[in-house]
Amino acid sequence: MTTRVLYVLAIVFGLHLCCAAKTVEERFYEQLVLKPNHDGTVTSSFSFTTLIKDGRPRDPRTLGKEDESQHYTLFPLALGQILRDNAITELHLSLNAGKWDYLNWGYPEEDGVGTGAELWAWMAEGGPVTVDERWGNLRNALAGLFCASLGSLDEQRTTSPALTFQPEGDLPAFSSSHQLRHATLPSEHVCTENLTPFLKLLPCKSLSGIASLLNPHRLFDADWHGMGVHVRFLDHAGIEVRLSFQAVHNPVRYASDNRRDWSLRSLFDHTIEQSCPVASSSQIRVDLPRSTAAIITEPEPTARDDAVAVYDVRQLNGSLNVAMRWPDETSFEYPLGASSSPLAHMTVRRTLKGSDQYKGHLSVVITNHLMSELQTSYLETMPWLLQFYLHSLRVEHDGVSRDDLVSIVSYTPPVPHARPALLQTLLTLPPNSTLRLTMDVVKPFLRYTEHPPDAQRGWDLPPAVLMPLARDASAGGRVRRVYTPVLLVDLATPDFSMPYNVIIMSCTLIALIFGSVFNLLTRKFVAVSLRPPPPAQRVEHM
Amino acid sequence: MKRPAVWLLSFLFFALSCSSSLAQDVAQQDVVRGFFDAQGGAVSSHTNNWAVLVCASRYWFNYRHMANALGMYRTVKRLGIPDSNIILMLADDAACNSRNKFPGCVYANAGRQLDLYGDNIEVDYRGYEVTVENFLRVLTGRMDPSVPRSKRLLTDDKSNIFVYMTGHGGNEFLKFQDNEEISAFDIADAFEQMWQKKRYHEIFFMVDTCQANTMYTKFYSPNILATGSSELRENSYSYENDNDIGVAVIDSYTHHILNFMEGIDKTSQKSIQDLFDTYSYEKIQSHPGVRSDLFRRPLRQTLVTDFFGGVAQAEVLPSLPEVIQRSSDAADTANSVPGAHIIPPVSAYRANDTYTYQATPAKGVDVAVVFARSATPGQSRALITFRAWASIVLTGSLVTWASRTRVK
Amino acid sequence: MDYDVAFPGLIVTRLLLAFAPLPDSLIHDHQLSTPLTSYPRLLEGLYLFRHGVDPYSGGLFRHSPLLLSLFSTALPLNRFTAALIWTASDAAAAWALVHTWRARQQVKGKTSRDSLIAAVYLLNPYILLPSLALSTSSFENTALLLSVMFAVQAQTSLSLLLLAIGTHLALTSWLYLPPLALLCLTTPVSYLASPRPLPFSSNEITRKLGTLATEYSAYLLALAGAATIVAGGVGWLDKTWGAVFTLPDLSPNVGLWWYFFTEMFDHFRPFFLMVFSIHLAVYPIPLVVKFQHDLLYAVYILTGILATFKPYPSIADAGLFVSMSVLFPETYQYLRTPFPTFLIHLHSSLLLPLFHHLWLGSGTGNANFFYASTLVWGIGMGLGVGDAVWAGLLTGIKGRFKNDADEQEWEITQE
Repeated sequence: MTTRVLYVLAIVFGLHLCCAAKTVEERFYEQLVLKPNHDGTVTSSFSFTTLIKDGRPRDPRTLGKEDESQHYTLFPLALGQILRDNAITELHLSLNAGKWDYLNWGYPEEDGVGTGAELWAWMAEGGPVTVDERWGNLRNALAGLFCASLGSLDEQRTTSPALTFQPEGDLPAFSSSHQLRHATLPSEHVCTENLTPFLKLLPCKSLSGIASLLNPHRLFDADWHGMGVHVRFLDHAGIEVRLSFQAVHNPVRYASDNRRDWSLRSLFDHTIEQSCPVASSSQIRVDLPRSTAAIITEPEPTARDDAVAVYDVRQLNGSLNVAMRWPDETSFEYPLGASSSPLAHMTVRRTLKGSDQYKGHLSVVITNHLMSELQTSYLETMPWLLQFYLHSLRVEHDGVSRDDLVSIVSYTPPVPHARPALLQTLLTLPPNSTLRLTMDVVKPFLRYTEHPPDAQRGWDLPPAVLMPLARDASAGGRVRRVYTPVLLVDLATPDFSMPYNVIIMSCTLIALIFGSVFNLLTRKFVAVSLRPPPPAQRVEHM
Repeated sequence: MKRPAVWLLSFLFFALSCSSSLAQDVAQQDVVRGFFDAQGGAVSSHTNNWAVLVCASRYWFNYRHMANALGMYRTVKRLGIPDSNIILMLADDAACNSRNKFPGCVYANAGRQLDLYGDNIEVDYRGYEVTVENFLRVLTGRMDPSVPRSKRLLTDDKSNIFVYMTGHGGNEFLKFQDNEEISAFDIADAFEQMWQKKRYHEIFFMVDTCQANTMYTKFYSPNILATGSSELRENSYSYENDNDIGVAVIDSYTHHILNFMEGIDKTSQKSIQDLFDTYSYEKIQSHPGVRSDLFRRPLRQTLVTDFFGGVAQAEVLPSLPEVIQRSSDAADTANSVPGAHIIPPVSAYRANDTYTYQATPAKGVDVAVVFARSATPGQSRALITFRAWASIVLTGSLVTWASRTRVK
Repeated sequence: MDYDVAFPGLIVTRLLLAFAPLPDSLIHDHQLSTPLTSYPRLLEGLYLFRHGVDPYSGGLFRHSPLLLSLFSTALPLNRFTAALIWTASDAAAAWALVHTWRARQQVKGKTSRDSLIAAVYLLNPYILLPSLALSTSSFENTALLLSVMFAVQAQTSLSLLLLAIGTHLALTSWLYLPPLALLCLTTPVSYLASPRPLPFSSNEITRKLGTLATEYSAYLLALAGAATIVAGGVGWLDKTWGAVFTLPDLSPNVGLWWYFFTEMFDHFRPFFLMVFSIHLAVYPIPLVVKFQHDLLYAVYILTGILATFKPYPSIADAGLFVSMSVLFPETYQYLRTPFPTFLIHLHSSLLLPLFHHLWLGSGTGNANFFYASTLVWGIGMGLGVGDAVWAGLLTGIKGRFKNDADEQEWEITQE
């Protein structure tokens, strides 16, 4: 009996080995960066990276055929299926809420901090399914996966700003080139229902490791919060999925004694009880502020130097509650006045001026904090809800008109009901000064059916993206994208309560005029005698 | 000596089972039917449960409608319906609304004891997606192929569906997002479509709006049980306000239902009639109604968990013969061969196997160069000027030619 | 006043007004210009054209490519030249009106009413304000009036060419073809008082009209070719002429289409767009048939009809109608409601800018206010046009009476 069982065992095992797909090596890394800012806030950046070694994106020409079987252990299956079904090479999705303050918080770890939802993907052309169809399928699939209204990122919000949104990874050498699709939805809300599927994509979920700190009740109370999903292909490494969550907490607001001391418990209401068993590395990095006030971080970090303290979560005994205190400070004083060393190269302020509902002015004020000239690209992907008069673009520097400082690289005019505008310009910012751009804009009139249910609120307009082209050593040689805040445009609304009345009244007037002209032209003229009628009444026809 | 006997016995058994499988079709259906009809037809013969929970109002002052829907969501989840079988439609975001003092939380009572939003929630349709069209598409299943699974109602003819709607309503209509409305006729027709396409076994329709009972007066498909919160020309009232949240947090009728549901768990044998018996004007401040003429089972024998819970019928079978047990064991171990899902031990990872974010420094130079090069417009100036002049010359020559020929 | 003094004087006055410091909001005003005629959009199109972007790839620029070629080559456009160009256009239109009058009176030299006619055109606020707002409807009016002038002077080719240019500027002008073609073949002398049928046989008329229609179409095609050359493709067709049929831009104006199609549900749009377009097209033939004795009057009535029912009208179209009425003094005595028409026009021209500001400027009114004032404007226009038709027909009927006594005995009505 036992030999027969062993026989069956061997046959089955052999068959399994033959039919099994190639074994895939996967790695999972998680990291948390905590950075106290000089205005009392703390920026936390979670990043959970899964790497499929030697993975390659799918060639779109194979989309008609059955895909080769994929076996994932750590890589999230739901996301992997979406990527392969649509042959996506690079994908970036971010869901943010709040306004990122570049001046006080510096550059974020993840560039995409535009308010609302932002989705962009690089896809190769070719194959039986077009890029636009795959983009539509991708949006709907991600909308279902992340409980977000990404399905409404249709062609009225999709553009292809390839100069600004360069791929962050490598593009595989398929026979046809890659195309970019980018869309934003600035009015998207972010809440627990977006975090729930996000956590389900992690190997350890929110049960152990750094992800156990992700408490929605604290995260969504932060001054700024945003989650991101970034998929990219690296030639020498494989396919990398990076799930990130950034938040800017304000411990002063919670503290009863107005101190800016913080700990994991005070920020997240959780501590790390257990490390994630499948993580290759799991660490917490605390950026130490450069001020002279003595700061204490506890418990004892695994490694430490002047700027950074590192905690290795895998070596933890018991629960880990990283804390930072300012013992010499009795209460926190908010730093008023301009900072001597601004944390960002430039700051941007974008506003919509004008009180009319049919025209206005767009005003962008850019301040260059560097002592050298800075060249930056300025990208506007504006839906057709706000139409630019490009001929009225004026640049003013120190009160002097300097239209030579702006040059238009490309412009795709908006088509109402069909396509947004794409404006790509190059700006030259003189050192340590402020540039003012103004442009006249036209606010269109929408159809009754195009207005949203809360039409009197207005429409949110996507942020503009600036990209300083000078390479700065402190930014790690990386080209960073700077996002402006979103705008709210108030469009004229028709009266929603009376479509039938309007149709009836207009048709009545048209019918009246048409009828009277018709009568005059077709009816016969008759002369009626005014004399008192004799016995025989005379009616003479004209 | 045992070996040939064992083989003979197993051979005989397989022969018997093969012969019986030929006549299996009819026999199997009889068994299934007999299983479900075990208690004389009063037990529901559904195999899966679904819930469609709709909050159709937006704006902060309609917080209570969102709390209504979320209360129902928590109840059906607690009683066993999984997220994949629940379609939750919330027309506005109450939990992460900037007016909400308690971010990420939605409460249904004045003391804020129970947070309905929690840490684990999936909202399938939110914000502007909650429209009459989407609601009807969910019910009838007629959707664009690209709509993901989590947004579809994948029911079959053995599904019990709990449909709950709350918002502002009136005589035979319910307002969606304050700018459109669904009428009782629309819902009735949608349910009839579902019946024709065998998309439900039984539906329990609950509606909490003003004049809610008028919403179910137009149904004409079988197996629908309906209940509403108030009569024609009668308003439904909210239950209580929370002074810190600043608005009313729950409606009377739904509060009463949720109170009743607190006493129900997965094993509860309470019937729907028990629920209806608790209706009283003093507690609810309006006259809730019930419509059961289309429902074929007696209400006393219809369990609350038939609609609110994810329970199914179960029958304990007698144990199988030992021989079959052992061969199935072998099959099990054969399948659990390494190569399937096994978490590698921690010691396999090296301590310094860290991962740093691979920046792409080279791209910075490329971008700057590309920008400088593409700072010139698409078409050349010369071509544009030539085209414009060609056109004007053509027009001018036309004018001169026309003015020369003075033809009567 | 002597015409040779008055006319230059009027032009100088116009120039002074054009160079005066006017409020900037005038060029954006919705009553004075429409999305098809607005000056900022023209500048935007020229700018995009100069910078190599196809101006017809977006939805902002809807002017004809001929204007694109004109203003980017022969006539560069800035505040100074714009004032000169628009004044010149108005002057040409007034000159054409005067010469039409002279031809109608069969007078070679000056007449006593010349200055009045020039003044009625150049000082008419309905013409003056859109011209100050640099709306290209001034060019449309000029093209039509020049076309009429050449028609009454029997210069058929020029007349048809100018009508073709006018059609390129505004597609609805093609409806003037039937009366204008017949005007080329007949005399402009007033026969209102003595109507008689056309002095042609049906074969003859078909042949002559066919020739004229072919010539017009040839001019239209040639100009379309020139337009395609400058636009670099046929995208301009959908954006300029197509706008008249599909109404893509729902900016408010004094017409009846915009609010109707704002409130229209999507699946009825194509039907009603078709109905409105066909409705506009049914007027020329009956007018020509009824006024075949005086086709200039048919043109006049048609200007009124188009001013009321065009997809994107502005007050300049109404101004053309009002100014052309000065050519027909013989009908004044038969107007039934001149005073109410004038009052309603006055009423609505005060209400329109007021409610426009209340809706879009200060936000204290809503769209219905402005819509109501466009309805009043429509009533005024309808009253004026109806009255003009009645007066024209009655001139023919009353003209038959030999003496006053006879006239007082009979009352003319319709059965």
